[in-house]
Amino acid sequence: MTEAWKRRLFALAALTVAGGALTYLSMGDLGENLVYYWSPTELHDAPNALQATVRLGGLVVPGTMNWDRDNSHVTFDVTDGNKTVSVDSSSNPPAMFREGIGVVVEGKLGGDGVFRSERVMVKHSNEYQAPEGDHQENWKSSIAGEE
Amino acid sequence: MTPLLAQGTGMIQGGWEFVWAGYGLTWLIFGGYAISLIVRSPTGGDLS
Amino acid sequence: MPKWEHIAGLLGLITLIVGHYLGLFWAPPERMMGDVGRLFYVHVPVAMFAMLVFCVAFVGALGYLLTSRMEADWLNEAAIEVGVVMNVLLLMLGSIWGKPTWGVWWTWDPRLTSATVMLLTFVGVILLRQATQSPEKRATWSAVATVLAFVNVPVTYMSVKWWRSIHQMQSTPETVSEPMVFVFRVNLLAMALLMTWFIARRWRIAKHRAMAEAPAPLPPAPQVTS
Repeated sequence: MTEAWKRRLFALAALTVAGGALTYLSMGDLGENLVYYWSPTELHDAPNALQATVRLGGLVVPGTMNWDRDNSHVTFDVTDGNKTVSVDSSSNPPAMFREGIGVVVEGKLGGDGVFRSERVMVKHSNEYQAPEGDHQENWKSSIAGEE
Repeated sequence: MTPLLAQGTGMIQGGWEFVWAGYGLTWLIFGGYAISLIVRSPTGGDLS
Repeated sequence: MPKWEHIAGLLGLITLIVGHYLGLFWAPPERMMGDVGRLFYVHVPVAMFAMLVFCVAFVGALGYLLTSRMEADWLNEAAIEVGVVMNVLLLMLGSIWGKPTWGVWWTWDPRLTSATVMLLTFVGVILLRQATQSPEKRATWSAVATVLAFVNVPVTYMSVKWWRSIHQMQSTPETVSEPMVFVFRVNLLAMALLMTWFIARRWRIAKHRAMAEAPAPLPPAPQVTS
């Protein structure tokens, strides 16, 4: 076999391995233990969730946020639409934190059912919008300098 | 206290230092890489 | 007579200046992120082109394996290096944007993890190239390694759809205000032109090295008698 054909065979072999790996990853479930965060429902259903450091992800339930900024203390409920978990955080969340926004919190579920966290992260959407009533409605003429 | 924290409205106020850092870093890395390409160029610093 | 890629490079430089000016001063602040939202115009184009440049490396790799032409290997070598530079910048820009928005510089979510794996695997291909002396062997093994490492590029792209992550999904023109889409496209164009210059210049370096490396035509080897 010539070198050139050997290389074509290598291409076939490498593409097969690559395609197989990609198919496996796209179809396969990487398993419960590999998820980046748990939903409130999963945290409720997991018997071994107590005292394990996990991430909990969901939406901040409107009306449940209680934020004492001066003492870096905030409590709020996180929901996935099915179950709700109360969170007690001992650090100030980032500026985008508000009621109704997505969050990922790191911490432990206590025996009292409260999730104690030292780190609250904000998960924002893929929307990027100009402020409402923006001055650049006529953006096309503005860039052409025809104010 | 950084102005990024604790507005409560969910809106970020300020934070230009992050913007400048990001844009500046882009120029730094692109500029640095462009110089490395010119230096390694087959004709030396001559780009033709 | 300047080489054709310098035209792309010069236009790319001008477009980048215009695109960054628009991103910094002309585009509106984002509704919730305020001015921090301006990082959109640098982070997202760099992310897209890091992955696209690795696609070019993949094309070079397959091209070499199928045709055995060294030009394809030089393309592979050039694009991998440019892609690694872009990948490093991508991770740094993401970190700078993550701190004010998510609240952390770094977290091991699927997108950040897969983008890090992407960097490490292609750095691995560069190391493999440097460890291989024979040009043909180097090209063959680099191409095979590139095809294998490339698996992770679509995985990185899809990671936000396949798995739970803190990183948001891809934006579309439907989720982004019109003037922001315009500024974004200017920056995309700048990136396309600059990548053309980077890859073309790096390709010439690879070609030049290969020419210098190639053994001069040998005189007839003396017969070794034993």
